[in-house]
Amino acid sequence: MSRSSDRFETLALKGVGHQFRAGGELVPTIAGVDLEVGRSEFVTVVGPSGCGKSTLFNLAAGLLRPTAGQVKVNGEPLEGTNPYVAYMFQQAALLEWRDVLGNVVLGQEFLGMPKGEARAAAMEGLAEFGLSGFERRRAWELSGGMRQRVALLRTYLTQRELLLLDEPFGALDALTRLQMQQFLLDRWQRDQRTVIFITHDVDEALLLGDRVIVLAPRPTYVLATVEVGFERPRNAEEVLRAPEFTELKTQMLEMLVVDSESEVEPDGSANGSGPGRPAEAERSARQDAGSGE
Amino acid sequence: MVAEQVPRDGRTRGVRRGLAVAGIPLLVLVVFFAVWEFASKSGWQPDYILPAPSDVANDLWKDRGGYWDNAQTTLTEILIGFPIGLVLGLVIGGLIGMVASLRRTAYPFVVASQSLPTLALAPLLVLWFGFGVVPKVILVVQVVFFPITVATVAGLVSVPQQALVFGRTLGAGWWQLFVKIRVPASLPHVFSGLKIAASYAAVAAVIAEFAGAESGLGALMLRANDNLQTEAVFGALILITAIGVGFFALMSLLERLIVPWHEQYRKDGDR
Ligand SMILES: Nc1ncnc2c1ncn2[C@@H]1O[C@H](COP(=O)(O)OP(=O)(O)O)[C@@H](O)[C@H]1O
Ligand SMILES: [Mg+2]
Repeated sequence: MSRSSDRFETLALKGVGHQFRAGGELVPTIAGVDLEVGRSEFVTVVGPSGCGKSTLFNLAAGLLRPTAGQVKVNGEPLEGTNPYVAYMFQQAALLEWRDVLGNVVLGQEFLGMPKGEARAAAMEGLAEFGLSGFERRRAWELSGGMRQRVALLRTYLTQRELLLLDEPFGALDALTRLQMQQFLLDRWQRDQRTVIFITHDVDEALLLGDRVIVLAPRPTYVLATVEVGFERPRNAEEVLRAPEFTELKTQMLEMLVVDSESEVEPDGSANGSGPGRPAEAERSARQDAGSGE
Repeated sequence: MVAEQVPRDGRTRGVRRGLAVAGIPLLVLVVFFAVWEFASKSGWQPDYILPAPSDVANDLWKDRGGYWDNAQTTLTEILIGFPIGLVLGLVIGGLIGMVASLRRTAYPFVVASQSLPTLALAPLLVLWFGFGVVPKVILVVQVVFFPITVATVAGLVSVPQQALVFGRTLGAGWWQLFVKIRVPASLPHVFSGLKIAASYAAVAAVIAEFAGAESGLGALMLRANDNLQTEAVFGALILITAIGVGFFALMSLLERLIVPWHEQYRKDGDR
């Protein structure tokens, strides 16, 4: 049931809107999003925190139903959960009662893969992800970067074709983050699975994506789509130094900062449901502007 | 000065730490008993008000058969009541933790059940169920099930949501998520509930015995009190405390064995 024999071709959000019901009150999170992602694309999504990025993922995964519009997979309206999706999060969400190997095979377990087969694939993956020798370690014994590699491997090992990565490197220090970005670029190159990658870091969005979707503050919509033309395979240092990169970045920061300053404040003072969030969004956009230099 | 420079090996440090942990409570205890012994023997208070620890120890040893008979009754009440309370707490806590609507409807009643004054309930239970083991077991169940219920609910509610989402997108069923994620994630909480329950159980049994019992450490205590055998009151008190501490220690041991990943042990782990 969970495995699908058809291969993934497209994910399309058509006029998708969403509202949360919070104690009888409706909180609009997504005003309307149109988006199409094809097989083997690497799409990044940037937007201020709290704007509805994770909600968008939940809609694409079929964990939430849109209150307007439609989610289509391979041209068909999505019912139930999306059979092509595997998730990864900012907090590695590793199980502390399992060691690294046990965590890495979790997805395969859920998919009902035979134990021996899962283990063999996991051992191979651990070597590829630079985690050999750490099979028996516990999550809390690992560095932040290694934890995220374990989580990424777990997601990769599901063999799912549409990877939804929700701010996976958001909690890492700058250097580790750069290493992980390069690692993901290289890993993506090998089998070119479709990736949608959420971040609030403009540098990261431009470095990784073929296309950057820029989202407005909540309730969100697509502010702009930025095509990123850097050749693949990409080298992080080269891309970050390219003059086109700086240009695109300036352009995007303008969009994000101007937008969060003009639209966010009245909403923040009037709506009790998300105190502090708009201000936080504004701050993070500015931090990101400074962090890349 | 010189000794400071000698690098200490791990074992010496371990011993020192062990002493620091066990030594201070032990020292407090020794001083406490010494002062008590002195206060009593010096004639500051008559024996029937404050018997000396040595007299209490002597009484415990001399009448060990009688103490043991009564302790057995109390232990039986706990050993029947505790498992029933545990199962009840896990089932009720499990239901409330898993079903959001029950959290609003049933949880208040569970909380209310705990606001029943145990002491006031005891005579009523004796009136209904007699002097036997039943009213004691009921009271033990009543005090045990509550902390376990609350802990189970807290555990289930605190389950890492992202791990659940990861599983759900892969088509994991309810049972798979329950067994692989919810249960192990809740266990550390359940054990804190178990430890609280363990320390309440003996108290509940004794209070129930106060309300009317033929045997048990509570009954012994009451009889001794009436006869001004104060050393026997203290003797029973010490045994009751020992049972409570013993149960608590047993739960702590089980906790270490079953949830070794729990944060509490991680901090002073050896790696
Ligand atoms: N279960 C929920 N009920 C009500 N509001 C929610 C719920 N989950 C998230 N929200 C709100 O919806 C908005 C979007 O959340 P989210 O998609 O997580 O934002 P992002 O991932 O962009 O930071 C936030 O303002 C958040 O407070
Ligand atoms: Mg988010």
